[in-house]
Amino acid sequence: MNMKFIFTFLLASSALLAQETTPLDSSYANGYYVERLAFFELLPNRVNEIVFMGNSITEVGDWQEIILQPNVVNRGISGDNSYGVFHRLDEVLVSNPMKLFIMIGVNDIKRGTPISKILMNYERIAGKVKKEAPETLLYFQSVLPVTEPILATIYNQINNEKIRTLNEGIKAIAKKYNLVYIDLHNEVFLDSKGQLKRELTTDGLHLKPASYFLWIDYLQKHLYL
Amino acid sequence: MNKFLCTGLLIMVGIPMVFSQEKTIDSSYNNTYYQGRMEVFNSLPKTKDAIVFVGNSITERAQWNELLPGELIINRGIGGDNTFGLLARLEDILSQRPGKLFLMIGINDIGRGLPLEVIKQNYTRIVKQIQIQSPRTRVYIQSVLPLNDEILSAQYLKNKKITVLDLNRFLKTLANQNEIIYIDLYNKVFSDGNNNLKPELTIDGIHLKPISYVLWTDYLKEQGYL
Repeated sequence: MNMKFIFTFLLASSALLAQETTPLDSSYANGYYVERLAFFELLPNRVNEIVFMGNSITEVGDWQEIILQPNVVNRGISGDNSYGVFHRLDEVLVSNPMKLFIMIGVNDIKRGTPISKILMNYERIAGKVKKEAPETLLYFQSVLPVTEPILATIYNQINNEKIRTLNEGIKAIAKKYNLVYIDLHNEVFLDSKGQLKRELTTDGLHLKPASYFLWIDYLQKHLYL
Repeated sequence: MNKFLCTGLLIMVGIPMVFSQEKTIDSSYNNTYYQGRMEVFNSLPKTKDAIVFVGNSITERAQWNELLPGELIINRGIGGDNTFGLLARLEDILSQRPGKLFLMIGINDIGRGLPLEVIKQNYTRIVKQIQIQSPRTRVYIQSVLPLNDEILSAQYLKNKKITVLDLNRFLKTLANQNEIIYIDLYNKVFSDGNNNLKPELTIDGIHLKPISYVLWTDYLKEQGYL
């Protein structure tokens, strides 16, 4: 009986392990990430930084020149995901930023990370910021919709239904941690068919330069900036 | 006297002749990327007395703002741009009366095989226009950077060492003649001593690693230009 129990236990636990580990790709530290992060660490820290953190959508924004305030900092890394953001929070928090705007998650969806795992990272991000930089105003920006009909096949795991589910979760976590959730998804970027507005995007996912003006206008109108 | 006049006429006629012979001169610049960047520039808030970095992708990819905290910095780099493209947008840049203008352009002109004479002429026009339109702007002509042929994959950029050196020699003279500052980044920061871009500073033999921009701005500060 003992043997049988142990045997069953072993079987079950190895099966569990296999289920847990095989499909989940939590890597983030690719060559570009490492290089960008090394660069960020060389840059001088400023007083009262306003930080934009995220993936390529954040990286290509001309935040400094559009907002034209000193201390705006671009911490976008193309291809980054929620694991990557969590693991580089230290570089950002060390300057005790005044504001931290985060938009992350679409690359997690792209590689098939379950929504629950992405949200777990969001929880870790919120917890870490609250703990280590309690005076920093943290803003979770919704993940933006995509224009499904024009997305390239490399993005075939991404759809608006998943993005909506993720955003619901992010919103709930923001509430739980008493943070501001910024619904750019619905308020700025969504068309009447539930897609990213075609005129605002280059490829169904990335944004045209004009979109950043709308984005920042929205932040300013709501006094987040 | 007659002979002199005659020679003068010949020279004057000669200039357009040289151009008409060179059917290969490609003066285009206005591609979709250029247009997109211009669209952004036109929508950005206007500044005055800013420090402006002007150039191609090498300038565009730097986060000047963050490298130089506390200064009003404007990045006017456009990937792929050349001296023709710069001339076409110079008026726009100068209309905001920059305090300082750091210029680096020319490697894409060289890459497409433009005759050096044409690049030099464009540079002369650039300097002249700045001096006329915004005489109080302090202009800095930065040397074109060396390439690294061993790392480069783009064939059209290989074997350009001598052309780059020639252009830089001209830029130094042009700067001296116009009493503006020439910044020898080529030798002081980027060359390995054998006219190659230091391998540790480049991604692909032409573009720079982030660390290079730290060295670049450190040098500008050391020299008191910033």
